[in-house]
Amino acid sequence: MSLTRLSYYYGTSSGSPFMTSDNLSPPGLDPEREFVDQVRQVLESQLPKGKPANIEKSVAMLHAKIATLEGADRRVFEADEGAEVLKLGVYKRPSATRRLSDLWMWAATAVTTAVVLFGAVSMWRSSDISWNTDVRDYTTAAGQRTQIRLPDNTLVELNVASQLRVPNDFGERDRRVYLNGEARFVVIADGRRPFIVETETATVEDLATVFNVRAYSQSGGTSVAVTEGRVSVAARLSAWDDRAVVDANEVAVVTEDGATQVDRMLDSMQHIGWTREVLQFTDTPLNKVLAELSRWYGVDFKIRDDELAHNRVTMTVRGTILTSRHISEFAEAIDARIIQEDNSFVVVRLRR
Amino acid sequence: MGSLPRSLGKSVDALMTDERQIISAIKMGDKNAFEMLYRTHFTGLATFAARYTLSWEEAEEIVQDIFIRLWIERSSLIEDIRSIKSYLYRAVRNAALNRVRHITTITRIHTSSSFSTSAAARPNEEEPADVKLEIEEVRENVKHELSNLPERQRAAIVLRYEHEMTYVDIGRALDISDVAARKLIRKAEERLKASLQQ
Repeated sequence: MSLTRLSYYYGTSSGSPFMTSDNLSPPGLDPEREFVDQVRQVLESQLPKGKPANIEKSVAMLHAKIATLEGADRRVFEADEGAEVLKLGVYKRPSATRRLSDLWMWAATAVTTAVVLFGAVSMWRSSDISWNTDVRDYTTAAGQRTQIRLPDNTLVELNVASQLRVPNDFGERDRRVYLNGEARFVVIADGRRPFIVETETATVEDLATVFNVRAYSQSGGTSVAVTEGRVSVAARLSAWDDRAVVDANEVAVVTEDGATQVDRMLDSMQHIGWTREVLQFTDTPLNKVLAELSRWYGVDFKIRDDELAHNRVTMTVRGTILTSRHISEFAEAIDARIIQEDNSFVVVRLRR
Repeated sequence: MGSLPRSLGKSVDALMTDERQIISAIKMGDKNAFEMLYRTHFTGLATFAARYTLSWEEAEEIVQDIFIRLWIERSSLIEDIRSIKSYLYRAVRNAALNRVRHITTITRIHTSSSFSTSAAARPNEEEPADVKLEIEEVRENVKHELSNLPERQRAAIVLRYEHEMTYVDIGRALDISDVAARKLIRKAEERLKASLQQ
């Protein structure tokens, strides 16, 4: 960027207060130019540390992402099979809503992905699921996340310990999916076929928008955070007429007893931070934090000390890989000790 | 337009047809044209996005998402998008704003360690405070004032000073008229210059 060119832009604004303050700039320097220089330097200093990605790498990544998307549903699925996503076969709708909580509890104690996969499969087999081809399920265990491209090009980011069920007639009349857990949806517009997310407690419907739905069956209720566009949310227990409209930057919370409340989204990272690998807690009881972290990392955190469990924690977690350094940083942050017991981490009081 | 030098007039025309050609090529599914557009604008857009995200990875993701969307929805592209550049910057700003409504929150998150308590949030300590020359103080003033500008004014200043955009393009990028864009920048400049006087 050439300064000469810039001073051409700005040099003409005569009568600016700066013109009189020659004492601030070294002699012989055009004050306008000096001003432009100052602003530019400050702007530069305010950029994040590091550098933008290498363009070749970035182009390659762009092509790879597009290739994945254009391969559509099938390819994403095949590529992920045996790796990130657990393909648990296909079965009828009414069963297994509660199964997932068992699944993730089991998974939380497992050590490796391979074991998680194994355990999950055998568990499903032993349960009362009738196998047929009505639906297709995408499931993540604790510590696993994945992306799914639906046949209509809607992008779903599935968070840890979650399950997304897609009927085979998806898109025929409407675009309906079933969610237990948490997911972010980037919905492609289609005026004819509304996009609907059903959870245990609520029905979320939209036309074209980006929103996050959190509905873990064991934590009760559904929370819908909209970042673009508008959706409607209805509690299962209420009539469809009672639905609440949620605009961009608002959050709707549906409790288990069917009450719905819409509020401004004060902190988007709280709701969609997980898609950037950020987990945020504000004044949250420690036991809740530990439950969340267990899901997040796929590791079992325990706490037996009741008083300690109710301590409030404000904390931010970045990244999805847990190392011993993280454990000790975490212990320091919550002012406690963390000891390892078999396959779990137990939080205990500091010795005085 | 009579006063416009002939050569400049021509190059503006050429630019317009160029952009139109790129868009129609992308509409037809030309991946090379698409890649060219990405290569041309990636760094600028990522730098702009980084003003909001405070991390380069996130900024890059925003830009990529926009291009992915552009590619997927290419059939619905309108050929007379007046300037691709301002269209792209507008998309980046909207996406970035949607992602991080509260820059202060992000600043708090932006620490090097994986875990951090809120109390551990550190202020910007880039420059040693030992020898603070007058000029240094001036810079601090500008810095302070710049970060206190309303988001729209700040965006306008960034687009003008860093991305060298015209008032017309800045207006398009911010969804306002070029006159309003000019006023916005003038206002911001006055505030910044006033801070230099203190």
